[in-house]
Amino acid sequence: MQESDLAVRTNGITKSFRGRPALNGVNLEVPRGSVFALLGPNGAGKTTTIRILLNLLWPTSGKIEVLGLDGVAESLEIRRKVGYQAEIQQFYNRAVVEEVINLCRSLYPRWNSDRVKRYCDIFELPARVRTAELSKGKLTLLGLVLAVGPDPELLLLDEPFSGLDPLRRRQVLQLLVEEMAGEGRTILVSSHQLQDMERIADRVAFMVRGRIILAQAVDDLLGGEKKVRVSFAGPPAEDMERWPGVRSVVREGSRFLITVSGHVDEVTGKLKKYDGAAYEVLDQSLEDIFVDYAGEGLK
Amino acid sequence: MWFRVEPGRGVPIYVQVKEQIRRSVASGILAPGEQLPSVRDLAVQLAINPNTISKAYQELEHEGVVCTLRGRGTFVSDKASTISDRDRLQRLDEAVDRFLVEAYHLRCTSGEVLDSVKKKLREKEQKGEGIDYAGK
Repeated sequence: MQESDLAVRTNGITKSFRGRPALNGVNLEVPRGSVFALLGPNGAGKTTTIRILLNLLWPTSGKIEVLGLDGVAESLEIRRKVGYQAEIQQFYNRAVVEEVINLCRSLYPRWNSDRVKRYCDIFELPARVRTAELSKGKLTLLGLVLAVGPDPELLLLDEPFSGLDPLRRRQVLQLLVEEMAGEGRTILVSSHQLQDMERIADRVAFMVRGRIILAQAVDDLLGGEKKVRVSFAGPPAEDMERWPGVRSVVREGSRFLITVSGHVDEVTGKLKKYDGAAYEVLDQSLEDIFVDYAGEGLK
Repeated sequence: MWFRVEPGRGVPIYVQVKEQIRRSVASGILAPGEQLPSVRDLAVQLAINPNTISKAYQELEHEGVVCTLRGRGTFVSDKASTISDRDRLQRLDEAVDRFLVEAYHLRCTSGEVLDSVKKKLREKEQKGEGIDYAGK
């Protein structure tokens, strides 16, 4: 991929906290104009990665490029072009919502007041209430409004659904879809809401123990990751583990459950050659696939 | 226009949207010449990525189900489908293949398969829902 086509590019980021490794060589390539979902179990390093992209944390080593700018030397320029919603929202407790918004507006060269007003209305954020008195969900929503305020080229969202009920979650999804319509805007989002990520993501990356173990277009992933259940009439195939794309073979009584990545037609083609073999191909949800890969990564 | 989108079904969402539009066109709910919602409107309404809708529309256009007029929008194709006879028959062959795989696994005989198809065609004609495209 051409450099200019990437909104984020990292090469081998490592980060240790007091000698304890948190990131073990993170390579990320986020295409411009895409929605990129960063998925991983708690403690995988998602938040650390996002904070490093904004230079809120220094990497121990590695190269970072955001919107074509150097992640360390040009971090101030980056922050002007990036909207960031933190996982844990911290505001001045005694400031009211309106004051927090005005403060943020003063920090950016551009600010879309109309849009901020519209989203505040939709989310029913009370202008004159102290942030200390807001619920967790409202804090999340305020953080999101502040992130989209500067009309950023890149939106970094860390758990944007945290504490939200289904209605608010749907509103946030619709907001994100509207944001995507912006010319070339890129969204990098971390979340545990896998079904919501399936709705909006172009690409997903699975992060486990400070490493990206898989990054792929969502449609390719769902189209390619299958399970095949087979029962043989005669003696079963012996070398299934070595068939192309086969990740695992589990015996289920007299049947076998084959997990296959990207080569399902070849696997079923081989099964057809066994006389009397009956099989079915099972689709997997993003959650099934994630649990499978992440579980293996944690072994 | 509302379509049911089920993340977690294990089927890419653009495929789900395609399936439902194709079904609505085949059943006549969506009439030839009717305009489909814009990519952006449908994306916001269903809360899914606009690229997903674009992809569904593009594939449907390739299959001759809809056509896109630049600057005007996406419309259900009328009878003068743009799809070539060769493509049409090839796609029918593929659909029959999938159907026969199903029949194979159900251990159907050729007679049962043919009877079932004939029965379905007859039922549809009786209900005035004959599948002859030219007849519509």
